[in-house]
Amino acid sequence: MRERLSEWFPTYRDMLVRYVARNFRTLSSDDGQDVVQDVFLELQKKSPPVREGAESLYLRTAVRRRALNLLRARAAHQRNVVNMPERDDPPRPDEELIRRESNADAQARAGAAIQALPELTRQCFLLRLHGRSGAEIARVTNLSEVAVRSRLNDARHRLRASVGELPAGVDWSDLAEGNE
Amino acid sequence: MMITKNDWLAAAEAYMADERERLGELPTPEEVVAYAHGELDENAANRVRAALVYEPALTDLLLEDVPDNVVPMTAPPRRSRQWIAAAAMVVIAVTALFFAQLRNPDGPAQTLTLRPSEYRGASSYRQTLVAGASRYHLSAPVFADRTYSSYRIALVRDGETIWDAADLQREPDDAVHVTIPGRELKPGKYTITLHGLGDEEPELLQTYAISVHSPQ
Repeated sequence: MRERLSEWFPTYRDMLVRYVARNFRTLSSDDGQDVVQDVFLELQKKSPPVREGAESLYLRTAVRRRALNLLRARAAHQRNVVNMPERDDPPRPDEELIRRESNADAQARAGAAIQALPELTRQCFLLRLHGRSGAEIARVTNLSEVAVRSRLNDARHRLRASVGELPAGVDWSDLAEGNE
Repeated sequence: MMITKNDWLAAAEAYMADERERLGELPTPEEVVAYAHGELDENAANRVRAALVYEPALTDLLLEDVPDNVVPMTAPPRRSRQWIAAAAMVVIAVTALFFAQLRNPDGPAQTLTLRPSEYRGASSYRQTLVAGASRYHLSAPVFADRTYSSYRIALVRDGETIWDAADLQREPDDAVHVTIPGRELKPGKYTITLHGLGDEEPELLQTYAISVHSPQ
């Protein structure tokens, strides 16, 4: 493993730094360098067995994981700072809050409908809601595309029954009409 | 009141945030690799799948190495006269190839995993091959977070493309593989380029420097 690591580091280091920069735009370039450096240090320490030919997926997962953990730690820190009690903080009318409140009922109905879906159906629906194609959903969920279409049909049917309408702005065009 | 797309997205985000909280630690690289190869038990696979779905920053991980034009495997056609004729053609072709190989004085094939020119910190890292092989199997690891419908590998000498292969696909091992006929790689210096092809202009993803030496 150590021999492979000494090959990977110069091969992948710069590419991984660029990869972090592309995927985590809130991280600085120094952060990106640190993330990649930390991943390789951990690899050196643990020397985990990595399947031949899977190093790219392994390294991409490792850097995304570390970058996310860094962001989560920063967000937690920020929350702690923000949540510090302030004196004399009077409530003030907030139009944005009122607007959000007016949608609260719609969001609650949507949330309840999402929650009521079976797990895999819900996951397929959430990916579709975020614009993923059938092939992409199949890849992420390890299901066949046929199974994904079936889950999406199920989601469509259940959501309409639940809230009385199809979710707005979701593309169902790859599903057979007759299966609805 | 109608539920808008934003309402759905807000509700989805609230649900996904709760799920992220519930899942806790992110899956390890080992788990993701095993999940991609279908080797996890049901519980572990469910956990990794949930993380990939509910943590948007991880969702693309498994999409980065999938060509856009993945074609589902189809069942083999039933045997027919055409099939038998095709099989006979293959036998003839293989036999012809066998005799062609007998007449071909070239050495065996060579295999090389390409490393980028900036490999090992050098500004122009150059890999070497020995001339005289019948063919060269080259493997170019792809490290782009974007997926292209196909890839092109070109062999460039003195600034001129002397050979190329398009419509190549990124394989499950995250690399594009190509076989260059031995006659194309005479002793000398070459640059090999890897381009991603799609609807837009071809994008240069990587360049590799190669030296081909005469056999000792």
